[in-house]
Amino acid sequence: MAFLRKTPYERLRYPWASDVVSAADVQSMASDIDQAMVTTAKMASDFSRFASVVVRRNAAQSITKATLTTISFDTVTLNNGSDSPLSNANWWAAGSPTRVTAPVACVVLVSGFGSINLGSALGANGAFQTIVTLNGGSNSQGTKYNPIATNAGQQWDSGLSMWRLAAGDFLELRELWTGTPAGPFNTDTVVPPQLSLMMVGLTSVS
Amino acid sequence: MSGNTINKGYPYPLTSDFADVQDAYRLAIAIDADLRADQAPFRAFESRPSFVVRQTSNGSGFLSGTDRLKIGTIDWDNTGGAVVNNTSWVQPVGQAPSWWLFGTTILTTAISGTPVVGDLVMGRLSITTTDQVSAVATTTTATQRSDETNTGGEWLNVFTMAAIYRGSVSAQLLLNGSTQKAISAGSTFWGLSLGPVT
Repeated sequence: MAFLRKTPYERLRYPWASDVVSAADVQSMASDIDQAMVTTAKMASDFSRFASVVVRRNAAQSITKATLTTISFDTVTLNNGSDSPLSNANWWAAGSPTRVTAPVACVVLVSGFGSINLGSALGANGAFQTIVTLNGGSNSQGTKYNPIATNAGQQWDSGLSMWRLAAGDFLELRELWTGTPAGPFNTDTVVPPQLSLMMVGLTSVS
Repeated sequence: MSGNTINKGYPYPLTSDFADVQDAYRLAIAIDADLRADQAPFRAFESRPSFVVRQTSNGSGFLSGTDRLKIGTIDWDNTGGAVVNNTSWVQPVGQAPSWWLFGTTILTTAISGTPVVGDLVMGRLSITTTDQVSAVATTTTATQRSDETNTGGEWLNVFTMAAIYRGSVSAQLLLNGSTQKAISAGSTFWGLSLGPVT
């Protein structure tokens, strides 16, 4: 059997110029080609199967005035990470109900939707804010607006964001309201807070 | 080596040829390159062009006018178009006309005085693209207006889709008020390539 070299990409073994080709050499090369074909077929099957998750807070959650409050999700609409060969693990777990956690390093597109049911109008200086936060820290993206000063009842806002996540990084949805009333107020149960996330890329592709 | 397979054109020796060890080398290299090319679209999808950048210090205060988010740190970029200290992202020159999704969260911070409720505050994405034939550059904008609430800094979330070629995009804050504000550290700007226009 010759001393075999390998091709640059698929690492197919082949005999070099000074060798005498043996049946074993051809067998090695055929085996490597076979494996490379299997790898290519698996890539074709898996490449678009990015993981996604949608979590929601259906029950009312109390939000204290001027306190940035992390939403605790009680309903999981979609959590298909374990079905994705590109992540192969779930994003949400009941033990950490506020978090969606990246199983692998990836880039994600996130929609954070916030809602609150105002028991009374916020007044001129009122504001309602919804943000998505990385790892419980200050790195946040989201939106804020000033509801009509005399309007009580349901208020909603939403923000779109993109994140680069390392494996184990987590995102959370947070809400804040402030204004004249003392509160607290509950999240809306008719159109409840929701966080939707989808992997849109991998940070490392071999 | 004088034959080629029908579909892929892989080289092989004919039965009338002398056996040559380099036949195996040429066949292996041809298969290797062909498989790599077949895998390219899958790799491209998984590593589609995208970037996420942030401003890391507060900008200069102003009363009215426009300021641009300045890139202080690059959380993610596989386009090469995000550069620290630049105020715009630049599309890779070699990319064909492509659809992109852009977004930003612009945070404001008060620089002097107490912000006045109702002062104009807007976030904006400014998108410049180049015509492939005439080479004329045109700029369009996407804007979110959410005026001053006087409750500790504003958060403006803007996003838009755009077809661009040799383009550049910046995230901006527009003000018209009576006290100075600025783009705050932590403001974020991102983009995701959605695919070619055609």
